[in-house]
Amino acid sequence: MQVFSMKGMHIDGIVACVPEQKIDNEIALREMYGEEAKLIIDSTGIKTRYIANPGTTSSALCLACAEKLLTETNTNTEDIGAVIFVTFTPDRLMPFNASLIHEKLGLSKEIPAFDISLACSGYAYGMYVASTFAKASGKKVLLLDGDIQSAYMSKYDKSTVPVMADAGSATLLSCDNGDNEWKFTFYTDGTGRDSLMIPAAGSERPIKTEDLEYKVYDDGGKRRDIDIYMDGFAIFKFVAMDISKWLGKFLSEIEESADTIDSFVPHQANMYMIKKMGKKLKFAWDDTWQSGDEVGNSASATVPVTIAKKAGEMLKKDKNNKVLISGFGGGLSASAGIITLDPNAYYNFFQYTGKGDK
Amino acid sequence: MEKFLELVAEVFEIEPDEIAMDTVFRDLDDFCSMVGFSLLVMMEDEYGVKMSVDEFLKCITIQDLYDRCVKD
Repeated sequence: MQVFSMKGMHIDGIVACVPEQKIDNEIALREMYGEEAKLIIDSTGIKTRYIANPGTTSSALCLACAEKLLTETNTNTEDIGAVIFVTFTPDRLMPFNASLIHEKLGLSKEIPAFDISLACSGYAYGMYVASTFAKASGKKVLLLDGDIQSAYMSKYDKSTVPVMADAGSATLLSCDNGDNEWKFTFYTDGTGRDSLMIPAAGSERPIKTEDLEYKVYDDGGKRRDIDIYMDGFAIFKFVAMDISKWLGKFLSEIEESADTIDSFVPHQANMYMIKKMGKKLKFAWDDTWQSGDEVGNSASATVPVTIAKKAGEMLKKDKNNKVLISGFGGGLSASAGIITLDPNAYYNFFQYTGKGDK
Repeated sequence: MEKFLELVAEVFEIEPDEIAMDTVFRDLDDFCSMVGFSLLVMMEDEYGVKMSVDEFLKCITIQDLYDRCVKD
C-alpha cells in the first residue's frame, strides 16, 4: 500500500453551502415509489436533500463559500498561491472551473489553477494535491469542491433520486511547518467504471437526439443516456467489501485505529452504508460525522459539507483533532486521509440563495 | 447452519435465537433494501456465492438463502 505523507499543514477554514431548493424526500419519492417511499427513506436515512435551481453552477456555490472564507479568515487575495477545483460537473466542459474562480476573486496571474475531475472520492485527492502545492510554494491554497449532480439526473431514476444532491465548498490550506503529519492513500478499480457513469455526451458517444429521450428500465425507473446511471448494488458491494477492508488495512499500515483517531468523516453515500463502515472500523456512531440525513449525498463535497456543518459540535475544543476522511464511488475510486482539524479554524455552513450570499 | 443464522442475525443486528431457518426474512422489522444488499455481501464474503439481485428476490426464507450457499 502506498502512503503519501505531508507534514506541517494547517486548514485555516472550511465553508460549505447547499443550494436553493430543499427537497422533502418522502414527498419527492412518493410519486415514484408510492407507499414504499417511507421504506426507502428508512433504508437510506436521507430525509431531506438540496437541489440547485436550473442554471446555478458548481462554481457559483463554491465562489459564495470562497468569498465568505477569505473575508472571515482575513486572507488577502495575493496570499493565494494556487486554486484547485474538484468537480465532475463544471459550469462548462471547457474551460475548467478554477479559471472562473480565479477571475471572480481577482487572483494573481502567476499562479497555478486547475480542476480535478473525480466523483465521490475527490476531496482527499484535492486535499493532498493542494497540500503539495502549499508545501512547495509556502503560499495558501484555495481548494474548491462542489457538484451540481441534479443537472445530470433523471427525476424518474430509482437509484439516484433517493440519495443524490448538490453542494459547494471552499477549503483554505496553509503551511504552518508544525509537527502535524497528514497521511493519504488512494484506491482505484477501473474494471468497475461502468457501474456509476453518464453513458452519452462524452467524446466516446457524441450527443444525438435519441440520447435526450427517456428509456424505461426493468425497475420501473426512466432515464436518458445523458443522465447519471448507478448500479446501486455494485456500488454498495464496492464500499461494503472492498473499501471497508482497504480502510482497515490503511489504518493498520500507519499504526492508527479508532482509538488513536478522534473521529471519522466518511463520504455521506447514505446513512446505512456509513453506519456499517464506521462500525467495521470500530468508530462509535457518535464519532462518525453525519450530515447526509439532512442534506443528501452531494458527491465529493459531502466531506467538506459535513465538516463545515458539524465542526462546532464534533470537534474537541482543546487540541488539534486527528480525523480520518474518506470518499468512495465512481471510477471505481476511493481516497482516504488522516488530517488534523483545528477547532479554532473558521467553519461555516449556509444555504445559498444566489442573492449575494456573504 | 447455526453459523449461517448467526451471520444473518449480525446483518439484522438482532440475536440469533430471534430467527430460524424458516423465517421469512423480508417480514423481519428492520428489513430494507440496504439490509438485502448486506445479506448478499455477507454470502459472497463468507461463502464465495455471487448471487444477482434478481435471484435474491426469489428467495423467501433464510433456508432459501442458505441452500444457495451450500449448493454452490
